[in-house]
Amino acid sequence: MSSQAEIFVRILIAIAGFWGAIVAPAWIPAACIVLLALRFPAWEALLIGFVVDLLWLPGGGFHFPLFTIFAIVVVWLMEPIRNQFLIS
Amino acid sequence: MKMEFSYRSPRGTHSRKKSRLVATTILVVVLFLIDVISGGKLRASVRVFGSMISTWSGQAGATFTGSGFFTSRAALESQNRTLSEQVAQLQGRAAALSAVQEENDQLRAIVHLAAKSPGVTAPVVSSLEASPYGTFLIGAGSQDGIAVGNLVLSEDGFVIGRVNDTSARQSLVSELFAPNATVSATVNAVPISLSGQGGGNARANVLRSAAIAIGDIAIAPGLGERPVGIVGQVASSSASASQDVYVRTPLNLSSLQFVYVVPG
Repeated sequence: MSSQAEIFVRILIAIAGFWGAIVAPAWIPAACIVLLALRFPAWEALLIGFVVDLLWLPGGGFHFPLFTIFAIVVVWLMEPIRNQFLIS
Repeated sequence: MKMEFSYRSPRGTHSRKKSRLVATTILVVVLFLIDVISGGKLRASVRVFGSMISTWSGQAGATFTGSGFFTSRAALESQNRTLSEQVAQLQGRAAALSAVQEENDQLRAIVHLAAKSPGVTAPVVSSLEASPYGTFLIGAGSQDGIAVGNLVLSEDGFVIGRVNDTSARQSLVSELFAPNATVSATVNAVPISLSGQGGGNARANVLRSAAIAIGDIAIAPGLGERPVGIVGQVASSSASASQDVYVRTPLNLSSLQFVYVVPG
């Protein structure tokens, strides 16, 4: 895939992730986070997870920001794998 | 022909990308801490923006489907949805009638319950499917008299949630039957503990001898003796000493447009 096409795909998935965080079922932003982290060193995946938690995390007492944690884990877990196998 | 070559270190590019990742991770953690320390101010602003996008998205979707591009499929889906909603509404009305009858009996016995709490009608301004935590946003906040702990009722009077967080013009509501939530209720005077399953569904495990049938109403004594759902299914096997009771809110939560908020 050419560099421009890669950037286009990355932006498209990121938009789908942010849109999904607001209006779509939770598996859509989760899938976008995984897709982004699989192919790119995607800082935007962290923001998608954070936005989900900002929007929907209940108040009153401490609740684990599961989506933020999920995004951090996925992005950093994919980092060595991507370096090793996915980026030519 | 003169050719020019430039060398870009792959390691340098990689470390730049990695430092961007580190910076964003730190930023996210810091912003989260700021939000917690400030009592959710960041959350409130993001929710205002989110509800605006949700509203625009809904309007754009309606315009797109109404444009005639997907006429036949959209028409069938719309008809299907309308019929399903009609069935749900009729069941809701029947259940509401029974609830009112039960309520009348109780009101005769306990006069002070007749004093109904005044409330606020609020629009639902977010999708009810989007939240992984079983929450949704309503368009009324502390300026409208909404407070944390207020009960959120459907038009039929069933409790569907509790106000969890408020800002000036918006509030976050936790669904009563959110995943992992538990609600103490009674069905035909049998006390049960309902475990939320999400989407307005809950499950309880009771003794087989308990007289519970499909269509019975679950009432929560801790929520002002208000109805919380109707029994949709009772599953038991002869080998088991207990039975599973499935309770659901008698309306399609995703079609909910307005709710009624009363003090808890």
